[in-house]
Amino acid sequence: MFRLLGRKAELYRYKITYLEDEIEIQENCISEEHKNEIEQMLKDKKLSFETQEIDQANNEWFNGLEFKSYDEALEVFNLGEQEYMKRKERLLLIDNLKLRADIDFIAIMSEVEL
Amino acid sequence: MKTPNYDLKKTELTDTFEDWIDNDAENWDIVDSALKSADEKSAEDISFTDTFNIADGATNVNSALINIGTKADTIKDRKYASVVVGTTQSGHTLADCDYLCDGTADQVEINAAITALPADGGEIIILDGTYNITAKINLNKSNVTISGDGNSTILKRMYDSSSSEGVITLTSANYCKIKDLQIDGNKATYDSSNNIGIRLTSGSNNTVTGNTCNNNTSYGIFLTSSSNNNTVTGNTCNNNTYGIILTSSSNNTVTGNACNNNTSYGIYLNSSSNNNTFTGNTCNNNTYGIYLTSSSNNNTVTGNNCNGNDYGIFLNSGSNNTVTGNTCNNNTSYGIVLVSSGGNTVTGNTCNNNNIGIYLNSSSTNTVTGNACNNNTSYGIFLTSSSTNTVTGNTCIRGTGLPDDYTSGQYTIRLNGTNNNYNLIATNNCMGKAVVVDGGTGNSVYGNKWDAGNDLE
Repeated sequence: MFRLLGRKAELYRYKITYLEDEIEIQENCISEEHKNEIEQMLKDKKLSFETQEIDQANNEWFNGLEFKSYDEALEVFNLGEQEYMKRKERLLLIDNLKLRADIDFIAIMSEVEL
Repeated sequence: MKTPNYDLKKTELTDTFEDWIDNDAENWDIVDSALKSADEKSAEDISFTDTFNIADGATNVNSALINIGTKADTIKDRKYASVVVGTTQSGHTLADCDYLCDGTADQVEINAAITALPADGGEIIILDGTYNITAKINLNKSNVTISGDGNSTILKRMYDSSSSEGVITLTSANYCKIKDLQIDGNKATYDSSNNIGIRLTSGSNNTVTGNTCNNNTSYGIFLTSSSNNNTVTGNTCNNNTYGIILTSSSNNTVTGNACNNNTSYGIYLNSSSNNNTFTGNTCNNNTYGIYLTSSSNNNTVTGNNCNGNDYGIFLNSGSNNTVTGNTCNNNTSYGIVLVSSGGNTVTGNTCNNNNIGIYLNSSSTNTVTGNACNNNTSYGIFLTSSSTNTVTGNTCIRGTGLPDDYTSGQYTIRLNGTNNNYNLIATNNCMGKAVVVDGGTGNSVYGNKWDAGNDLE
């Protein structure tokens, strides 16, 4: 239960369900301010609604991460925090190894002893 | 006799000149005589300053008339079947007209005039005045023109129809013209849902122009049952339930009409009405400005003004329609809506100050490009359960395009829910708030400008 605002993932905190023209509509909100705004709009329209808080306690690690696409974000979200951290560490290790290899290459070519 | 000031080009006959010829048999005799003695040496553009020049039979005149010979022949055929209808209510006498109405059941005289025309048609000229109509004017003969004196010729409905029919009802007649009449639906007194202003049933190549069809309980102008290749232009259809409606009718041109303050639809297209063109119409303050539904495909909706409605332009189950260059502002719900519609092109429209600028619901493979959707209350462009659409090059900003111009519930472009897939959302101007994607798979969102320093790439 999240959205992508540009590149940034934002967790949904509330779910508001209402009927309009006999169609059930669900609106998700990222903040209390957002929820209040939607609720006020529905009150102005005199529509009855139900608001539920979404438990995101286990997903806070995900909030604010940036992704190139929703597909990528969803894949990471589904991996879970531990797997995401492992992947992140693995990527960091690979980056570090690449960097070390580059430095070694430059040192050898420059005949500099590290 | 009129003494018109005409500009007659060698290849065309102006309506004014045509009217002059139609107005009096003597005028036609002048033209006919000129044609017979034509000199083809000169074909310069001619300017007529008065009827006397034509009567002179000047060489240039003759040449010009030869060049418009085909059209003139058509006029000649029609000329000799011109009938004038007047009414005692306006002081007309039989010296003024061929048929004289008396303010009671005036359709009797008008229908008699139609019946009196030869089988190949002619013209009924209805003089100024109010004509009380207690049964339909039955136009069932081709090549008939019924014309009035604009809003001075009023056909007033004084009855409820027991089945769907117009004050003027054309049935299976072609090449007719209904023009310059005011049809008062009088719905305050006669409120049957069968009451229509002008109805065309199975009629083709007809022209309905310059009429005012207001206050009809049901429709202002109604084309139905394969009424094809007709032209509906320059009419005013206000304060009806539907302004202009086409059902099962194709290849019609509906242009320059005013359809305002109708309780349901300004212009309504239904039941596989295809290849119609709607251009330059004004449809304000209705529930729906222009509404296309039930497999109405390949229509062109361009350059119309649809403001102050609940919905500006609404496509429901329509394919391959082109919606371009329209202005849909200040509608309480949506500027342009596509529901269950695919393969449509929505481009170059202005949809400002609505609740939602452009809304795609369960609609796929549409192209939405180059539209201006600014200062809409909730969304510039909004997609729900819609896939493989191309949304590019649109401008969707609020205020000056700063983050503070948006509340949490206001968006530039939003893909709502988890059923929007494989859409391309690119190179849009979303200053102040980036595109929001709630879910779905395979959506490409890139190159949209949303703040001074960042593009989505």
